Amino acid sequence: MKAINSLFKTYRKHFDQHHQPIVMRSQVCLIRNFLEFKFSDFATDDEKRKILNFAKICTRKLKNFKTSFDLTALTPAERLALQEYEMIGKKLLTNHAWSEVICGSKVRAAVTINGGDHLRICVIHSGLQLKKSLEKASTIDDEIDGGDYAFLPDIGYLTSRPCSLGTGMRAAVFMHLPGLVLTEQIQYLTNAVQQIGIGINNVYGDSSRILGHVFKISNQQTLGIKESEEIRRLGDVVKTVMEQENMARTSFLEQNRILFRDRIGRMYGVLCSCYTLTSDDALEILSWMRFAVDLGIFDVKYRPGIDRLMVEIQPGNLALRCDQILTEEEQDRKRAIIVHTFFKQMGEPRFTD
Amino acid sequence: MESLKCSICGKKAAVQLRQMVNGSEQTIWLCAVCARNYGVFPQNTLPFSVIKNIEAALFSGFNEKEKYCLHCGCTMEFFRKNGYLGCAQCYEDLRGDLLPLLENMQKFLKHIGKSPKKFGPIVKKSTAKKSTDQVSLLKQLQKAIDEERFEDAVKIRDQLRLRTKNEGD
Ligand SMILES: [Zn+2]
Ligand SMILES: [Zn+2]
Repeated sequence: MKAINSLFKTYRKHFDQHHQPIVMRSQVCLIRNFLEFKFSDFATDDEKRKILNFAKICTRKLKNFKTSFDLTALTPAERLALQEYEMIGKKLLTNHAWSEVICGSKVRAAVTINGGDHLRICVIHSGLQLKKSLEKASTIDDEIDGGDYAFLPDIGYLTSRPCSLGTGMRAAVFMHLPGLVLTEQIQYLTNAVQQIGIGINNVYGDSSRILGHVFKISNQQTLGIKESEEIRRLGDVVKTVMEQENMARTSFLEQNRILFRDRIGRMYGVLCSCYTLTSDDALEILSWMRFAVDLGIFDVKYRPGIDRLMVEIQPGNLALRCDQILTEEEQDRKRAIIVHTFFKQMGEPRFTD
Repeated sequence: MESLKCSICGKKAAVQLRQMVNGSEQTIWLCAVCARNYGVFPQNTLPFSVIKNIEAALFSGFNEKEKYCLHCGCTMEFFRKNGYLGCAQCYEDLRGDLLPLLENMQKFLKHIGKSPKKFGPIVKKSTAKKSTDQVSLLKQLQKAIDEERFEDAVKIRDQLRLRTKNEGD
């Protein structure tokens, strides 16, 4: 098996751990630069080559980080699949000269070299586990730290983007918020959250269209606050959003009891017997299925599978699975086959009343 | 590498540009000031119009008013246009213009988070805070990297690590 395929095979198992309603996963990234080089985005190709060679040696002692990928040597589908697993940033899909990503074999973690900054240490855990993700990222950071990070005592770690200056930490929680979207409270919540210096964006779709009801709630403050404190603040906001979401779900279900059940039943039918399925439709329907799992309409043991499918039905992962570039039509067909297998085995929705 | 001169003014070069001319690669070196004045940043290829500008510049002066990073030549204008900075030194040389921009977003402009654990603060400019031993190790490290002796670089890094660790104890 190709290294990238066996890596994803391990990552797929991670979905089984700590799955819960509303919160999907936690992610903590630490951005670091070496003092000796210009920032990667600013560097020439030759400088980037040096940064890469140097960083590779600095990271080779990392435990359980044995798989690395030269992004230029990967196929576009493989790069896309890595991005869909959030191992690399979107920018590296096209601009990846002298960039590499070193992936954790146990934890879903990656160290990206030359993606804007010299190093981006990123750790992802299922569920609400910001603290654990931060601890792991910080351990990796300490292992790499050789006394030559770009750092000033008064303004902290120096990053290519001043918005990360200080802790260099970007933490985020991915939340599934169908209730707040369906009751049209999401805009109100977005404004409230942003006002206290926390970012919120929809993960699928774009600025004008929310898809799959998945949101990324992230920290913005990197100066004047400790990492652990900012994580706690972010966690508190996440907990408040969870409460709001639960209330929104209750009120939505009270007003749309029949409609909701009907929709779940119909969508289940689509998942089991559609011949083709677009990515947009799939994300939307999978979101409703996750919602249904939270309500006990499907067995809770299927929740990780739904989360996994949200990644697997995306173009890069589909192409990787089929070992070839697929046309859009072929993708839609393949996607349909994948969801059939899963949802048929899951069994029909159980409405208790 | 250190001895290279700016193709325009003859000062120490900071930026290297490569351009294909009739199938062969030509290298042009620019100092931070000239690079800034001609909007040239290390993007590898140089548009023809910029070459023309450089030629023109050989016969005219240039203004040195705008603040720029002495190490990489980055300016606030470049930052505003592209959203990123050039190097660690930018935070020293452009600090006065840069930090006020962060005021809205940040609680206050002081780092109170993690520090490089075992080693304490190291930045090129603030050499006063470092022992001479540390400075010389950092110099050796830079030299090893410039000469692409990466294995040596890592050994020096390990020494630096040990050294600073002892100081902390
Ligand atoms: Zn010059
Ligand atoms: Zn600079």
